[in-house]
Amino acid sequence: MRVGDSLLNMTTSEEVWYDRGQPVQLEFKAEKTHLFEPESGNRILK
Amino acid sequence: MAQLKLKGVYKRYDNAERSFFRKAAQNDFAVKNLSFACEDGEFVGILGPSGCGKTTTLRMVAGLEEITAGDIYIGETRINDLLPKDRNIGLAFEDYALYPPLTVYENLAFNMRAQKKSDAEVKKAIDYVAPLLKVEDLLGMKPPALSGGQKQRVNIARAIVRRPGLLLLDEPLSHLDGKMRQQLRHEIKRMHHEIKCTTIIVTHDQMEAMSLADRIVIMKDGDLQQMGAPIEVYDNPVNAFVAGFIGEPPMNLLSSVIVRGDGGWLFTFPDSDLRVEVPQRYHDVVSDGMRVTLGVRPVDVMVANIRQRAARLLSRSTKIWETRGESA
Repeated sequence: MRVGDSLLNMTTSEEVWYDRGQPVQLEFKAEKTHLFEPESGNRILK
Repeated sequence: MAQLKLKGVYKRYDNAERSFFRKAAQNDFAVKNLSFACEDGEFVGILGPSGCGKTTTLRMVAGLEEITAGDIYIGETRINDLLPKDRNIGLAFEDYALYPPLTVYENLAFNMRAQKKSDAEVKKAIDYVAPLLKVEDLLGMKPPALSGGQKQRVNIARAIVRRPGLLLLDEPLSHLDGKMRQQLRHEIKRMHHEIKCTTIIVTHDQMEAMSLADRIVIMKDGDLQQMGAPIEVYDNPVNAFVAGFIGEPPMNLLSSVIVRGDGGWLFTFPDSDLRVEVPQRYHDVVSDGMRVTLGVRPVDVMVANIRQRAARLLSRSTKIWETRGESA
């Protein structure tokens, strides 16, 4: 999936197909998200 | 067994060497202020992209490269000025470097003979080590008759036959095909479990490092980025480089600006209408307009067709964001 200029990759547990422009919903596991400072790349908060 | 300690180690190549080691020429120092310790019997993997300084580090430990600054200790002994032969180290490189005219037995015996060990001592050592690496049936053969996997088994057996305090493995599996790599990886793990020799493996293959090592050292441009247990590094990368380097497929790293929405803090993304709720644990450190890089692994992203699976997702989680196809 394209997010602005970036590609967002995801792994699905089953074979699924989506059409271009098709509305979908995303879920990120909150406890598995990481924040980094853009310049240094260092982690923000553990 | 032995404890290995590196304290503030630097390596800078002189001009002649720089022309050969191109990466070093770009960055001046091939290794910068490197400090870490391996405990007795520990298996440590040094992992990083080409030119990150991992092989240089191994060669400094082995005594094959001079140290520009810093100290290396094995146990309580500072080994900076010790000759390689006096460091009690076993080495196995990706190139097998076996002596073609000698049998496997003679290859294994070579260094012990050079140390004036008796025939009985040599035989006892080989009898112990040969089954560990499954080379007992190869002892009468000569290297040209061996497969790549067999040569590497002999190479590693030769490195441990003198029972070194420290075993250094430099990309030992890189010449082998997938199945053989996996097989020998298991053999190395089993061998280490048996002899409990402090072992360092240098590799660019994260699967190799993560499956073999108790802890891994991640290097980039001569700097240590992170050292920890594989799962710790995978789950809690200290920076975006480690986050993107460890894991296959790699972690998504998205540029984002945090904004204050009606329902709370949201990640927004340039040229995209995607909105993602900022997890609660970050609420104390974010601010309106703050630029961040958001990292999330592909396995931690779930996507569903709104029409078919919304109800299921909604019942499963409160963290739902709507997006639209390609432009998200």
